[in-house]
Formats: sequence, structure tokens, C-alpha cells
Amino acid sequence: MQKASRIKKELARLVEDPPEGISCYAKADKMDVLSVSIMGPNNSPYNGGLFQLEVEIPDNYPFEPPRIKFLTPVYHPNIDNSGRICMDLLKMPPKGGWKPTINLENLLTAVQHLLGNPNPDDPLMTEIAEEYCINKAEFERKARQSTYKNAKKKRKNDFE
Amino acid sequence: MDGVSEVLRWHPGLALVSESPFTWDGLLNIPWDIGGNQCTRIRIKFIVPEYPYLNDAKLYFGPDVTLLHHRKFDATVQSLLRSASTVSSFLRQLQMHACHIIKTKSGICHGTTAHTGKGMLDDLKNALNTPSDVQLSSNSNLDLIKLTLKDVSIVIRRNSNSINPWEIVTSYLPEIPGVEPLGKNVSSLLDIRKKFQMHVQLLEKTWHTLFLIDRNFHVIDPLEPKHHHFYRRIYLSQILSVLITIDPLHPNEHPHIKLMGCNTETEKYTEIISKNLENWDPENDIIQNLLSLLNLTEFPQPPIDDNKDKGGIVNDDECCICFSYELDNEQAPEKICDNRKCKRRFHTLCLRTWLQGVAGNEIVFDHICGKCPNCGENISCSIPCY
Repeated sequence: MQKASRIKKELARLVEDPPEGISCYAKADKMDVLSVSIMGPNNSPYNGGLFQLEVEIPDNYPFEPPRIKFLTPVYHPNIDNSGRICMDLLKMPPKGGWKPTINLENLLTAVQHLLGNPNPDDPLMTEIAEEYCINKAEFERKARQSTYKNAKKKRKNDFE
Repeated sequence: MDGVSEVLRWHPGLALVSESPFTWDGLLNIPWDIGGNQCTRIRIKFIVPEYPYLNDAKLYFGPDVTLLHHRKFDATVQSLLRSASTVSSFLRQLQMHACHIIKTKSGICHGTTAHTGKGMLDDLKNALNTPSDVQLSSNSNLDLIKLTLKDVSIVIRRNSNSINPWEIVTSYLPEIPGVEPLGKNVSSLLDIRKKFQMHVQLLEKTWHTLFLIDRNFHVIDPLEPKHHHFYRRIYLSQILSVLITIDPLHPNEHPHIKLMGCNTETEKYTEIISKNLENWDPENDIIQNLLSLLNLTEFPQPPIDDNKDKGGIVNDDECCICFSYELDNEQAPEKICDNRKCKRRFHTLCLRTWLQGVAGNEIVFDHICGKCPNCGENISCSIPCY
């Protein structure tokens, strides 16, 4: 019962006053699945890319964290091939850091921040994390390439 | 007065600023190589109360002369003062002594040594002698230079690299895809200024286009557009917005367009836009083009919400778990965190549901204990007895 009113309030806020480079809308009238786009942060190899995400709001929200998944492939130490994100805030305590006082805007901003600031100490993709630590230039090259391939407009008339 | 004119002849940087007591103030040249090309100047103030005698004379140095404050140096200066007979002979000996110190500990004597400073000054002189629309300014140390043109600016710094001597400290100028970045291949201030001007001119049209969008449409992202933002997310309705990204080199061509919102709406508009896209005319202005692209006759405005609170998403009197005041017609949030720095409110039901959901929270009699979800301090909450 907490879920419906909270999501409504949060979505209205995200539509009217969104954080920079983030958009979030309900996929359909039911507000269980949200469609989110995040712009790759400046000064990161993801710059210029637009990443699609899907957010699922569990029935038990906010007592359980939302499930967030990248739909656009991302080359990143903390995001795996199927788009799952390794982030402390998305897990229940005592292991994780989810709290019901955290809202969607906080979470999405945290995901955007994670894009620009990988956390190689808690990786999902160990090889990418290793590369990030040992050969950052190569990591950035690959991440840029992947962004170009998957998250960038191709050329004119490629309207989606 | 012979002494005075002699001082003036040999030390043109020093001025006699007072005759009671006799006081010289200004810069003393320290030539520290044979040809006299390498020269450091130090700021001094020299007070001679018993002129022409040097009794009780005092010598002060400017704040930038760090090494000369050394105790040993002070002692030497005092002994020079005692042994010298006239002001000009004392100054000459001071010059020689300082010169000796600089030669042995070259480079650390002065804040801006002549060595690296000279290249910088030549560079700056060249730039200042060539007229340009770009405004040059600097901080007082002359180590940061700011270039400004039409409210766009970059800050650059001189480094010791002889091939690329200028590095960019901060830039409000975006990188343009396909155009060489500003900091690359610039050997002088003149170069970087020319390049900066070119970049600004290149983007002027783009910025104007974006400005038109900002003025006519309700842009929800970015809230405060900067020069590097080439995108605008435009409000269309409560459940739909359109993200357009302008190609900085072709601002009049149709931008990259992406609809964001509820599925049914995006599908509807996708169809409209695909149909209208071929009618985009680079000769028209962007506002015309966008309106016809979206089948609109006027600019959509957001609903005016009077009680919109610009503060946090939760008001102080609302429960910070369900983000509302009343919960299913129940009472107001009555549970308050004991931590005086937190003092957030919760509905008992909300807090209890949370504390029961976290593994490891202990139940003591009819209370469940855990951490406040806002501040992390201990908090407990009653559970109903069955």
C-alpha cells in the first residue's frame, strides 16, 4: 500500500525536475516497470552515449529495493553481459545498503555516478576490472568503442 | 646629495621615497651571469635614519624573496651594513652577495625565476601585441591565463614542456567531434588563442539554435544549460518528452531525436515523427521545424503547480518511508527517531515493516530493534501483541 502512492510521487518529481542526463517514465499505465535513459557522464568513455535501463518495482517496495537492469550493453567492471548492476545500494541489508529512505532519483543518480566511476574492488566482470586497474587506457578505448557501437546514434535518419 | 644621484644612476629601480628618514624603495637588480642577461630583481626597502652614515640603517625584503630570509644571509647583511661606508657601496656589495647565493642555489631564490618566466613573458608579449577579439586576463601570479570570448572562457597554465607549453586547466568549451581538441599541437599563446577563437566561432550557430530552443520550449533537462550541453529534453506532456541532440557542426540539419515516456505515447509519436522527418528544412529555423515535426502548433507548457515544494521529496512532517502524511486514512506519522540530529518521522506501520524485513533484527518483548533507515542510529518500534 505504501508502494502506489510513493511511486506516483517519485515519478511526478522525476518528470518535472529530473537530475541532469536522466529520464524516467512508467512503461505503461501500471507503474511497476519503468523505462529509464541515462546519458553517459562527461569526462568518461561513456560520454555521448545514451543508455537504456529497465527498473522493476517490487510489490514490497520500498521495503525491498527496485531491480535495475541495463538494456544497452555496457563495457564496465560492475555491469555484466546481461545488464545486471553490482551496486551496494541495490541489495538488502545486512549485506547491502538499501534503505527505504532512498528514492529512485538517488538510485538512478548513483547508477549514473557508477558509470563514470567504476568500482574495481567489487567487480562483476573480473577481467574488465583487472584491465581497468592495470591498463586504463585500453579499458577506456574498449569502453568508448562499446559505447559507440551500442549507445550512440549511428548517423542521420536513424530515428528510433 | 652626490650619494643620492649615484644610487639613482646604478640602481634605477630604487626610488628615494622619503628624506626624513632617508628611505629607498623598489627593485634591486641582481645580474647573475657574466653577460648580465640573466637577471633577477628583488624587492627591497632601505631606511637610513643617519644619512649619509649607515648607523641604525634597516633593510627589508619583499615577501617573495624566500631564501634571502635565511638567518645566515641576515647576518651577512648586518656585517655588510657595519663595514660599508656609503649607501651605494653597500648596495653594490649586497648585489654581489645576493648574486653569489643565486649562483650557488640557482632557481630557489625567487618565486618566478627569470628562466621559465622569460619564455612565458615573451609569449604573453607576442599575444598582447597582436590584436584579437579574445580577451586575456590573468591572476596576480601570472601563472594562469584566462581567455574569454562571448561569455565562453578557458583557463590555461604554462608548464615546462617546451613543445606543448600550454595546458588547459578548465574549459567551458566542449570537444567537437571531428575537430582537433584545443590543447593539442599548440606551441604558443598565440596559437591557442587562435584555435580557441576558431572553436567559439564554429559553435556560435549551434549555441544560437540551442538558445532558441531554450527560449521557446519548456526544457526539463539540462536545468541550467551550459556551453557543452548539445542536448535538450523538451517537455511534451506528463508522460512524454523528447530528447534532441544537435550535431554541433550542422546545427540546422535535423537533430538526433529520441522519444522518452510511456510506451503507448512514444509509439504514437514515433509514427508522427517518421512521417514528418522528410519535411525537415534546414533553411527554416529550428522552432518551425520542431513544431511541424511533432505536429504541434504551440509550445507545450507544464501544468502550473502552486504547491510545488522545491525542497526535498519528503516534507518534514511526512513519513520518510512511504513519503506521505496519511497512510490509508491512518494517523499522521507518529514515530520520531530519537537521534536529535535526525528526528525524522515514520508511521509505526512503515517502520515496523522495514525493521521486520531486515534479517538479524532482534525482538525484545514487544519491541523490534534495528537501525533508523535515515541516520543509522539504533531505533525500536512496538509490535502488536497477539
